[in-house]
Amino acid sequence: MATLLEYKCPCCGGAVSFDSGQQKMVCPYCDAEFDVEELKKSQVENEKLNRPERHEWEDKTDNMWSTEDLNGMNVYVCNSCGGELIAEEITGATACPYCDSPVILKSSFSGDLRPDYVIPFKLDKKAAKEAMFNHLKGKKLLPKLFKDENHIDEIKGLYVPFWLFSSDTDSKHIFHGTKVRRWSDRNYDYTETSHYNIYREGRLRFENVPVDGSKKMPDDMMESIEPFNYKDMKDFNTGYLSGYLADKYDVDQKSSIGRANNRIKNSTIDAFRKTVHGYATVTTESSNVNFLNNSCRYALLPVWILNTTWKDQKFMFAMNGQTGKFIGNLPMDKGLFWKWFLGIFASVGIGLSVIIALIVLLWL
Amino acid sequence: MKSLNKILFVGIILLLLMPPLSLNVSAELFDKTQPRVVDNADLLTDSEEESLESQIKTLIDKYDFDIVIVTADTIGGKTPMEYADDYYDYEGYGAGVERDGVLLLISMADRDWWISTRGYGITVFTDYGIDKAGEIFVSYLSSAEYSQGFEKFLNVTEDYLTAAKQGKPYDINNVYLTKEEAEKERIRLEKENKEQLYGAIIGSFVIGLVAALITVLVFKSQLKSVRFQGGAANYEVAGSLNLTRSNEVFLYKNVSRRRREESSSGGGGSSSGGGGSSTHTSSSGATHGGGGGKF
Repeated sequence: MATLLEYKCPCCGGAVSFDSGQQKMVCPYCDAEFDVEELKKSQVENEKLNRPERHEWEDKTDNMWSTEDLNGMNVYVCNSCGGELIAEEITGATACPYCDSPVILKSSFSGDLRPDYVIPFKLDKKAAKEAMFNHLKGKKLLPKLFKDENHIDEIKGLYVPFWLFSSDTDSKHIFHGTKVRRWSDRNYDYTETSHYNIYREGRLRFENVPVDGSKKMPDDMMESIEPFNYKDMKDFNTGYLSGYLADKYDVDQKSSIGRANNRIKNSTIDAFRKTVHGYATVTTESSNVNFLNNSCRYALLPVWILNTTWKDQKFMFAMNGQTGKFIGNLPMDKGLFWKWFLGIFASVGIGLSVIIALIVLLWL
Repeated sequence: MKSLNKILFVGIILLLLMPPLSLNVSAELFDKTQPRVVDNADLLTDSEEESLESQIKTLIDKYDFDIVIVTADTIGGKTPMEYADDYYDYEGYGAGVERDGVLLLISMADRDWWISTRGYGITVFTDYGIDKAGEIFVSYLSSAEYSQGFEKFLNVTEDYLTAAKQGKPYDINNVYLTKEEAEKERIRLEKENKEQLYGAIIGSFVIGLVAALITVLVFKSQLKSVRFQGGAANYEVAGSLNLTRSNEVFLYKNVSRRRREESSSGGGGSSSGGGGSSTHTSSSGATHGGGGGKF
């Protein structure tokens, strides 16, 4: 049976959560503020005291659920109200459905599942809603009713598991370059094209290329909200998860590394190609990119997810919880598309024709 | 007494009226009484001759410019140019001190025509103008319609005089068009303008189509914000690029050449060299312009 972690306020005993604005733990009941590290220390001491009690609870729950029922699910008991929570195995942090206390499912982040780093949320739910509103602004072909009728089903602040790959690349490149010279005599224009073979070899380091380790999150969406700023990255502490949802990875690093390699390779070729100057054209002929000193870290990165429904269609939006970059594909109004097309076609065509006709009339 | 007074009065009146006639020196230089149509080859009927004569008189009065038409069976061993120049000079034609005027000679012996100009006539009839005039009346001469040919010559002369008066004598750069030619040219220009206008309108709609396409595609792309990242340039460690080897080797080169297009404006030099009137000196020592041909 998995255990459940909940940070208690040392002042009043209420469940505290991480506040993205103050970057501190804040108790919603008595407004007391705590540093994440300090609170953890006090919590560990409290836990020692609570230990005998918790053993009793575990025995109870063990008898009540059979393993068949819990296929891929785990059952927890809320420390605040005693209600039972059922959560997916990969869930790391959630809220109690009865008392809404933020709870962290310890087992998801223990042992080798423990993340190395976390970037705490910097933007709150209000910012996400606002960003959604701005995202819909100025989109000329968005159906007019989408803004009003689009129903937000769910907004959740989610710590998404990411693998961060770092590597030194040792690469060799052959480029083909051309230089062009032009001159003329009385009768002819001449064009001379000189061809060159360009060789480059060297090293280039990449750090923390993120690949999302969650099956639930579409990879293209997670790449679209990049980049994250690693300056704010903290050593992992479950305290940051309090008040948000968190998943542990369900795509391991071996399956993720291919994507990172691809991106690093493309950028390595680009970077070396940029060292070639003074040519009219440069094309890549062949490249060989080797990876050295590979390392991989496990980090939780903050993402706001907004699920909406419009005309029975589901739309998913995501916002970078640190930088506020908002993405999500929107539906197109085909009628508006043709209206704009025909409108511009007709007005430019007729407008120019009239101007030309006027010039001709006045000029002749 | 009374009748003497009357005579004196009439005499004084007459004296007062006389000076304008007797003092008109320049009018004496321009003898308008001579025949302007000298039909030695007898190509015209008397009535045709009279009609031409009166038309010429009108033009002479209007433009103060002499016009002479001479037909001859033989020109006595002279070239048409010499004959025409001498005829003009020795018969005393020409208006004013410079003896401005033009003479058209038709010689039946070798079927020659020649236009001789003098004074202001050299300005009025450029080399181009003489050739053009020839083109217009030669066909009438060839088919023995002499009277009509001469009338055409007079029409052209009047048009040339008008243009020269406005400071723009007909020349290579300012071509003379007969009424039919002008009409043809007008229709051609109209057609060309129409075609250009249609072309411009079609062009406008093509531009409209391209503009509309670009705009809606831009609008459409606004709706799509989810896409994979191509590279990882954001995660390149700044300054970590370390080039350990680099070289650039020349392989080969090729040269292609294309013939230059002849620029149409380059011909300006030759056209400025053309035009105007070429002159020569006649046996009397006078400067003449002129030109001619066969009919």
